[in-house]
Amino acid sequence: MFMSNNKRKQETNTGRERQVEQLLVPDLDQNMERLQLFLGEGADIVHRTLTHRSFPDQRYSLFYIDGIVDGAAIGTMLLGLLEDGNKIIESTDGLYTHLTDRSIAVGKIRPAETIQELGYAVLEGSSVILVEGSLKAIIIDTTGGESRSVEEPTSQTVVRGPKEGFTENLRTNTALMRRIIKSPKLRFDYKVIGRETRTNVAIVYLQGIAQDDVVQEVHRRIDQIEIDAILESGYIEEFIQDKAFTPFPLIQNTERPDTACASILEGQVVIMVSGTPFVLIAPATFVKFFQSSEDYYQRYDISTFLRLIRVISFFISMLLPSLYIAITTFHQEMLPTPLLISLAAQREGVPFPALVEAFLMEITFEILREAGVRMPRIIGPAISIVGALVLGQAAVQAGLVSAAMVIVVSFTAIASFVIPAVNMGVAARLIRFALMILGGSFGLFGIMSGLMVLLAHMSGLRSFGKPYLLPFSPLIISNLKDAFIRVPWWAMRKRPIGMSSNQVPNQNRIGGGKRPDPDQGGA
Amino acid sequence: MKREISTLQTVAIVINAITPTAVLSVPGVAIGFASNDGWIAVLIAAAAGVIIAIAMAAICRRNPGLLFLEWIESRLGTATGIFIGVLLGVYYFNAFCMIVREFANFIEDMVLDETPIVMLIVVMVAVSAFSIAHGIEAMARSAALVLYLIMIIVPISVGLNFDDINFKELLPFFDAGATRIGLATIAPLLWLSEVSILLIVQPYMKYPKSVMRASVIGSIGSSLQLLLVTVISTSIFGADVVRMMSYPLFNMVGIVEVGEFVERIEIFTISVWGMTMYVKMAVFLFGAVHCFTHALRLKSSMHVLFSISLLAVATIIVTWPRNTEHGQYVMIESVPFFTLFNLIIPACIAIGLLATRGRGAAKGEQAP
Repeated sequence: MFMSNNKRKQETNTGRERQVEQLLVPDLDQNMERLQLFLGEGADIVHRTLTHRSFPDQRYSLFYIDGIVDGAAIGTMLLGLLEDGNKIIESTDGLYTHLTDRSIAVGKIRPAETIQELGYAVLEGSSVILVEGSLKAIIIDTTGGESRSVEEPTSQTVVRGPKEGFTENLRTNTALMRRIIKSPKLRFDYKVIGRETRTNVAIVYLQGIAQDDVVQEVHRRIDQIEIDAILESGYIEEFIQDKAFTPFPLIQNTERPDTACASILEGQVVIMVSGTPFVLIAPATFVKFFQSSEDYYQRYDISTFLRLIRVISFFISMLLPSLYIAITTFHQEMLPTPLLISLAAQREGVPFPALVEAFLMEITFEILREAGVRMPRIIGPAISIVGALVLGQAAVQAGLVSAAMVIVVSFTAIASFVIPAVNMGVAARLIRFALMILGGSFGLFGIMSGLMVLLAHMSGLRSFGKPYLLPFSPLIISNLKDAFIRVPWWAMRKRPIGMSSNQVPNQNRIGGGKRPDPDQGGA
Repeated sequence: MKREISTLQTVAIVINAITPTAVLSVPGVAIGFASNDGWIAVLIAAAAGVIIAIAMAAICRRNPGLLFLEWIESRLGTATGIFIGVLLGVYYFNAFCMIVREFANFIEDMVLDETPIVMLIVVMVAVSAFSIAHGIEAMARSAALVLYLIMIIVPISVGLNFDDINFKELLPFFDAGATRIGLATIAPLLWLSEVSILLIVQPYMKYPKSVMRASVIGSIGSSLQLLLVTVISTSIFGADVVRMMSYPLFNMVGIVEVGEFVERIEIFTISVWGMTMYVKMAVFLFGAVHCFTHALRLKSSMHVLFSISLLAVATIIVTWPRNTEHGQYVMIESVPFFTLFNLIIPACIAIGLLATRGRGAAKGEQAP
């Protein structure tokens, strides 16, 4: 019985698929029935049949889904259709041509010949007009509906620089980029991924600046994705990154249009996904995760200083607890005597070895951090009080952990927030625990062995064919100008070698490459 | 086969294949034989090392772009190729075991005296195998990065020791006599002959013709490090004290005090040096895996890597139950071993290649 039910259901499904894939027929009622079958039942599906005084034998029918269309565009269109429907005209072209050429007051329209194409267009927010007696229907781009407006990015804030951030709307996002790069070479290649979600994806690059093989590789990898749903760019990131088993991010993400545009201008490719403000940037090298868009808006000397601070912070966030464990457990001779005595006095009442003590504190901090992210904002201060006062101070007073360990864990946590890319900060957090175990088991030798493993691992990583440790290994001296340091803009004459196109004229970023001389203006 | 290794990375491989163990042992041995003339012995060895490097590069340059063992087989026949492949595989395996044990002994002596040496050996072999698993290209990149670290650490170390340096300790020159200086030259020369690793590495170079440059710069760079350690340790402690030291390099760094709050910083130097040791171990393990895989026509190099790593752990533990036995092996028994594999066998290969020059010319081989 169960089997036969299943079989029947399968047969019904197959029949339905066959029906909707069919081409349009001249009979309007049949086309409407099939389109309604494709779209299913829904109170938000609006369907209206209209007539035209000049074509009394031909009806036409409008379909759209309320809420995902632009209400103003629908209103204008309907008003135009109704006004036009009352006019007497002399036309020999038929209703379909009349509607497309003279009646529909919306800019972007296109013809369609199958129910499936029409159905998906309606689901994406377009309106559809089926015309009696015509084998073609009209798809009108009325995509719209409520969406978040352009706001300041929450995850990548800057003191100086643009305050606009991407939104969940792909069209808004492409417009934000178009407003920055007004070049005819800017390309948007669109794709639809996800059997059920049919998510729109745009691959954005600057033709002639991006490397052709990288663009092709991005296309190839995205085309290979077979999944039912894409809800965020993270889905695509996991599918297309070069190596799955690595703690290091191999693709950048940003919600800042200026960062995305700067990447495109350096030859990288941006992947935008409908429904998320986070766009992907590929290929990405290790140093890119320590660069902020603000680095290019403020003076080069302070930018260089801040970049170095970020790199140091990354290493502190990764290494400090393990170094503390290793030195207090295995290499006490390295500490000056007064500090050693002070630490020994603090740890005297602590019942745990340094490794266990550090693990307790790190896990506590990770729980606090996760709680801070997940809980409602209104109770945020409560967590700070519980975390800082109750857990921190009370744990020291109770003799569960030493004060030095609280300082180490706190400093480590603060250092991890300095890294501009959250995904690189997460990598440091994961690696920290492994290094703590190594430091607690083998001292500095263990940490050194762990670092060697990381070095070997990172040396083997690639992002869309580009070595992850570029420009340090392999060494590209000219790219060092904008790696952990940043030289003045006038000295960065060329785009990064290896990332951008190999065609020589396209590598030049600044013509002449000279600093404007204030004495030459004759001021 | 991907040709991805740059010339700089090749230099880094050569330097890291020679110096990590050399800076540990050579200054002591050279000064032991030639006293305050130890540095002259290193200098002579450096000159001879450059000649060896040129000879190795000359052999490499005749390779038309094949893997070393494929090339040997095409010129000297399959049987000879397999024999040489196995022989070199055994050499690299033994050398790898020796290096790991030397490193483990050092860590046990200097840093982790209560940790079982077996654990140290397992960690070292595992890290080396992990490096190799990512391929020679990743290994070359790691080697280059470690070389940059060395280039930072060495000047800092010299700078911090500057106040303690007394060059008068090097005087009088040629006090030890030609025989003792000659004897002192053997150890650094044997180490410098490890430039023979280029035979294996050169086919992976992006610009194979620059092998000569890589070879000579690598040899000179290694010699400079050896010379620096020998000169500075002699001029700080005097030859008589250095002779009694196990690790003059680290004693040298160990005396550094910055202000009154930073002391015993040799652990950081040891850490950076440890990274060079890891690169060296990885290079030799790669040599062993490469030779066995190609000589025995094995399909999966990953399986060979796993098996050789396991075998290495067992060999290292069983062959030298006590550290003294390993010390004796390094100082005495390894001399003919290194001489055979780094000098005699490459010389035989060169002779064989010269004798079969006609076959190479027929296959479009490039002129040296």
